[in-house]
Amino acid sequence: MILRHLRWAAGCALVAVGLLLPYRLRIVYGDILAWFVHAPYILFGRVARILVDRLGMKVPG
Amino acid sequence: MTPTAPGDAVLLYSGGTDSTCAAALLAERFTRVHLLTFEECGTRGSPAPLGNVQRLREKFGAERFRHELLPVDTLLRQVWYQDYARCILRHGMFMVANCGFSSLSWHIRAIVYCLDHGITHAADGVTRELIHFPGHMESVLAVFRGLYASFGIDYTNPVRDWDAPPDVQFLERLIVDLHHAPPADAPGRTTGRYLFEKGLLPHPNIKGTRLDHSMQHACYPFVLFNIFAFWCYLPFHSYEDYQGRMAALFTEKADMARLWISEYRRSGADSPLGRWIAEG
Repeated sequence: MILRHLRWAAGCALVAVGLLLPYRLRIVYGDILAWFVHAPYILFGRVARILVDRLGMKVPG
Repeated sequence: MTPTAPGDAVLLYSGGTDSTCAAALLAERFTRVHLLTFEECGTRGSPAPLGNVQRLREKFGAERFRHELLPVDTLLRQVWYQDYARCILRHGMFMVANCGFSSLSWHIRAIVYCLDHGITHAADGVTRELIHFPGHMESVLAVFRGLYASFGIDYTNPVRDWDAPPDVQFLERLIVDLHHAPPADAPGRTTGRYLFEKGLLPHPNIKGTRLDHSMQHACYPFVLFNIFAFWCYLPFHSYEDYQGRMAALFTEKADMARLWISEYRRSGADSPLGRWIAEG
């Protein structure tokens, strides 16, 4: 419940900033947010690829 | 007045599996399909869908498909920011729905294209996936349908009720891309299966693979919108309420667009809409 409200507050703050920006700056702002959102997955993907290669994993089936 | 072209149809085309399936279906009903891909500031880095256009031409005949890349930045800016302060007061954070504004700007541009070429049938590859996006909601699609109908154009969604493939998890996708393994197949009638059976795709489900990303023009940037939808609104309200408020916003925007297009019909390139289109 607390997490849900914390996310709501953070979300409102991020969206409010976006609403104040002009067209191109809003796109750049979205790109920056996207980079932060995707960064953990990209990082995990890179580590996972190294592990899969090192372990010599084969295609299932 | 432009003569009508009853054998022609317009398709809003990203080059992904769904819109390519819609293109193949239209090719079975119409003599010529005009594939319209829309470019905007937020998607300019993503590839043009030339690979799938080529595959469609090889399968059905080169003369059957005309492909256009149309910039819509100026138009999108007008859709988004016209009467902005009043819209913020009325719709609040819903004004961050850039994906819906992008969709509306494509539809406006597609209607103008139809009017310029005398085409009376338009379609897209919208499915029932991602229904938090305004352009995928039934109520907003009804608004778009009404906008097209105002100008004598029949707007349809030929793959709307097709089955969706199952989500592929990150680790599965990693193995798919690293080792070129086929991803999980889907039961039922999916757009990917249809294209696979037509010989247009190497596997029935390529969604999310590198091949998918390489052949598809991104639709719109949507992280900020997703934050609004999944962090701010949907945890505290029902989907029906969310959809209703979105429909109210897009009804207002479509009414505005109707006036612009009517003016374009009277004054052509000299109208505000004509100038925005010319500016790209």
